[in-house]
Amino acid sequence: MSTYTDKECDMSEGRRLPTSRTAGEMTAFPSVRAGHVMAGPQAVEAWVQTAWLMLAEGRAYIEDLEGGAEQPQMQQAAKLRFLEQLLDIDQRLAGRAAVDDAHCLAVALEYGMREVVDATGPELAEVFGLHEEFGGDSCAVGEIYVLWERLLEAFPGKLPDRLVAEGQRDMLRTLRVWARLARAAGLDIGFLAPFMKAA
Amino acid sequence: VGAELTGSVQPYLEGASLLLGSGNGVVLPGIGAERDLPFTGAPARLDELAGLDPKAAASLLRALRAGAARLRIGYTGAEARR
Repeated sequence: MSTYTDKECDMSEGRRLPTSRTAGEMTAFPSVRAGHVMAGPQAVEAWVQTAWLMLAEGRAYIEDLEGGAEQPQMQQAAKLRFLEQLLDIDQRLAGRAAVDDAHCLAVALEYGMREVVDATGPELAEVFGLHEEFGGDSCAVGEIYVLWERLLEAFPGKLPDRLVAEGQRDMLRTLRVWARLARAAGLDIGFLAPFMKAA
Repeated sequence: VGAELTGSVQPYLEGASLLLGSGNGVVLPGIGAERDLPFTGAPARLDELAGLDPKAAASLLRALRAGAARLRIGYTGAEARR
């Protein structure tokens, strides 16, 4: 890892890195605002996968973090997985081949993100509280919630919440819309099946 | 001024769509249907182009940049001035 400079790498308590922005200062989905153009089928595949990963995996990790307030070690594991998931989404939206799970954390901390959020590796480490001792009896998650709210706010369209009863109907309707969208781009919505099985 | 779509606006999520055209695709937040894109209906005067609100202007620019829409500019009264 080479992106941590002496100035940025301060592992002490009660810290704010001089060059870091808070989650509330970061731009979520900057390429949406810029109008990032992809090949038609690639755009459909990337955005449908992204929506699914956000509403299924992203929401589940946030639920885990919220529900695990008394289990900091579980929260620590969940927030690492959440960061890896966001990196995976970032790679898809950038049109890159997905990074193997085992390397997502390292890639996020080394190179940061550009599609999901414009953040450097050290800034992500700040937001996700990675300065904390792993296995300790506390887990900082406040900035992660702020980041999640910014992601939902900036996401193009309203994501159905399949974790609540009334969200099931919206989810079914959305899947039908996505099937039509895929057909319009010459794709089969079956590309989503592996993600749905994994959820 | 009028905007002519060369692609199709496809629903994606509530409040957003994907514009597919010329082999390209771009996500359009705030656009639910083709009619939500500015100037796709009746032509507007040039000064109305300057009066577009930022969100509508951004949507139009994204569509143009994706090659899924093009602007047509005509001149009313041009024949009479010749």
